[in-house]
Amino acid sequence: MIAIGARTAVIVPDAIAPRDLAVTFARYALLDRGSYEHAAVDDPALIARLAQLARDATGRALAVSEARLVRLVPGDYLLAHHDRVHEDFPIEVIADLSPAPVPGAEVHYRRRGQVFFRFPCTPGAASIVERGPTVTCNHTYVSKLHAGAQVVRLVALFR
Amino acid sequence: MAGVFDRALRWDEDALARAWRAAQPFPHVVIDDFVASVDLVELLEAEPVEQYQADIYIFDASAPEPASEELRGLRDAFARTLAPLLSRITGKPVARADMRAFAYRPGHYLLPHADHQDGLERRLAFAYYLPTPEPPQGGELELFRCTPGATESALVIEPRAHRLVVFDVSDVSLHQVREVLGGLRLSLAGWFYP
Repeated sequence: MIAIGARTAVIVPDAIAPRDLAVTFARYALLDRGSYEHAAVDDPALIARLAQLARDATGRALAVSEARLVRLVPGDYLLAHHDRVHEDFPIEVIADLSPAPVPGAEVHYRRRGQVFFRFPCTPGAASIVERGPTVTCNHTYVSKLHAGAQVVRLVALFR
Repeated sequence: MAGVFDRALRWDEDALARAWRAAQPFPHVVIDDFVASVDLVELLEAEPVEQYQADIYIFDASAPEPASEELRGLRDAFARTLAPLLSRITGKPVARADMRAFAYRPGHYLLPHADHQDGLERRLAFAYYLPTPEPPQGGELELFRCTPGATESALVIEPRAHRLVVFDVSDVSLHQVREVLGGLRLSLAGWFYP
């Protein structure tokens, strides 16, 4: 899928193989910004795979500059004003490591507030989006109607 | 519409003013049986609603400016009756109000936020819960205490029919409508302005 509104905004299905995550998450809870868990990433092979996807999609020479895991359970979310604006047009790659699809759990990219690209929860898929000064991102609320749901995403920036 | 809100004229203003000042985590009052035996839901049948969605909310609501004569009349009667009372109770001079009708269905929510926005002059927020054929599961109004680097739940208010909640608007009056998990949550809500 390619979206109008960014020079690069694509979803790569089946981009990564399922993996067993042995990490300890910490909860973030400034609730007017987000409610989720986060952890550092220690998986060089996965980062290298995502870097290759980013290079293939953009044709740019890119190296990872930051990466983290986020986990959302029912009731969790990351709001757009919790996001950072990037002036230097890095490439953001999100790999979906969720154990199963969760209806309605999406990553939204917005340009001047309007959603131009959606990445639904799809285990194994990756989104590749060029960030910029007018682009923000939010992770939508995970409904409590989906008891036991779990959304796990690796969020990495490449420059 | 005259007389719909006349019960408010019998409020114990001194008691409510004390409750307002003592309330935690920020000033608010909860008033039950605010309106008696008037079918406001029937009055609202002519008001169109549509779905609104952003990163912090999804719900069905009427437009910011009411389309029907009925809701405009209700809003004006509400403001005319309550503004003088709430000015005295809260110490915040208010004169006018806006009002929208809201319908929260299963999966609808309004995530934690404060209503204060520069330039909008919102002074007090209100929510009046209407009777509904299927009382909601969830949909509570939750108030949070803000401290440096943390926010914590401090109070949960059930959306009981004919309950009116009025609360302060400030940078720290953080609140949310919890997700509705079943039934239907109907309310009239808005803000008072100078």
